[in-house]
Amino acid sequence: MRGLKFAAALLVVTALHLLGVELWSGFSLVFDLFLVLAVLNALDGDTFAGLWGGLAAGLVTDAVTGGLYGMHGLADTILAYGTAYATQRLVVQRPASVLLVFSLAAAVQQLTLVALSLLLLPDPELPGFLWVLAKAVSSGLLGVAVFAARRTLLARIGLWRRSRAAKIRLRG
Amino acid sequence: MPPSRTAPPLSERSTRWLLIVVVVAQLSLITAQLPDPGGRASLLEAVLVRAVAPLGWLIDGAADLTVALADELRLRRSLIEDNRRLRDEVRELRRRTMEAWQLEQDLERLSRALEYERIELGPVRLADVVFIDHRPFLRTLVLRTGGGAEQNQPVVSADGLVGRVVLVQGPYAKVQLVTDRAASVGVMIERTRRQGVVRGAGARGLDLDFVPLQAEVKVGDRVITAGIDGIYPRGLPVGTVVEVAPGSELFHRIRLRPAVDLGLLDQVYLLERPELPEGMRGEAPVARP
Repeated sequence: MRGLKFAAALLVVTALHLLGVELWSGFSLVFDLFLVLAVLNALDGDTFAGLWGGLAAGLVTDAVTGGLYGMHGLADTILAYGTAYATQRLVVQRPASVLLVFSLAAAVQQLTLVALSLLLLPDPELPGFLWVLAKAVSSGLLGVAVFAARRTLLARIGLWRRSRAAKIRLRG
Repeated sequence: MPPSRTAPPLSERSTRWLLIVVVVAQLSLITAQLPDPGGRASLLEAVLVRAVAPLGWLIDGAADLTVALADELRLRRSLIEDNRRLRDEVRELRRRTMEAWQLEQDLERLSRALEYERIELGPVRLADVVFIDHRPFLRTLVLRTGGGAEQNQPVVSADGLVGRVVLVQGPYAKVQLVTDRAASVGVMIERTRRQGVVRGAGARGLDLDFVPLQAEVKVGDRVITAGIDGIYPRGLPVGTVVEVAPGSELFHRIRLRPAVDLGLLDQVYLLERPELPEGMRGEAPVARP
């Protein structure tokens, strides 16, 4: 069930990414929705699910971009696993810590991509520092917003379920 | 409220081993592409591109429809004025067509006199751009061709050369743009006919290599395909010289602005390539842009 939910989320994120690129060609320079999804998926501390989520999100990123296939897959796998591993040991609930986790994840992803490019390509074109900073900030803000929205939604669903169960008991 | 946790299907130790296996597998996948970065795609890439491309096509179509509706509303207001301007343009273009027809007749007459046979551009096929991406690590786009595209088929727009097909998956084709760092094209400077090789330089545009220092090159010179690389036919605009500097060795260091604004691509043309005779195929240069 969790895998299906993730697949549906990945589909939505892919559609949003393509729409973003359609509307603004610089979209992928500033935003990485796949990264946000991979980190969000890893934030509950399940390293197994985090690993597969990062791998799937990264490989789909590679499919909608060019260059060496698998670079985003590798970077996202590592950062998603790292996020899940860190979440097992740290409490990541407050907006500031969530912001930090998403921003750090974006920075780690960019560093991994840069390191891979430097190691593997003869004359790599590296992203400018400002673009890396912009991606880290945008990922952090987007992550906080999505994390808060998910928490609010889950709380409302829980409340609705409890009130519904209480009504059913009264009728019985 | 923290999200609910369920028991993971593997222990932490097993997951760590799984991570190592996945990382090693992906490193193998990446390094396997290194000898030929623009070459054959892996099965995994082919499957995922095939899965994602229809979504891109749908979004592109929806965006085009929205833009078309907005344009329609705007255009209605200035229809008469545009119509008048277009009529004037048609008149001017007809006059130029007459001139061009006259020149073509002269050219044919002279060609016949010299027993020279010109190579004609083959038929072209229109294709929609499904998506294009400009992140620093890539220069690529995906087309919906409807099938029939071939690997290495040249892709052009009305302004000039766009790139070549590197992957065909059913009705979709992935195109390596001319600005991709792995791309190269045999070209010549239109004014002097001096030949060289254009290489993609990513966001910097294009670099023109192997033009000797004694060759005359000026800023503003137009560069066109030379038709010598076995992929692109002769005469397609590639770019304009924007910077000329002496290189460290025997050649100029020349930078070009691409003829095509790759950020504005919506539809492109696939050129049919004339087949070489059977006996000459082994002798033709295998271009690997």
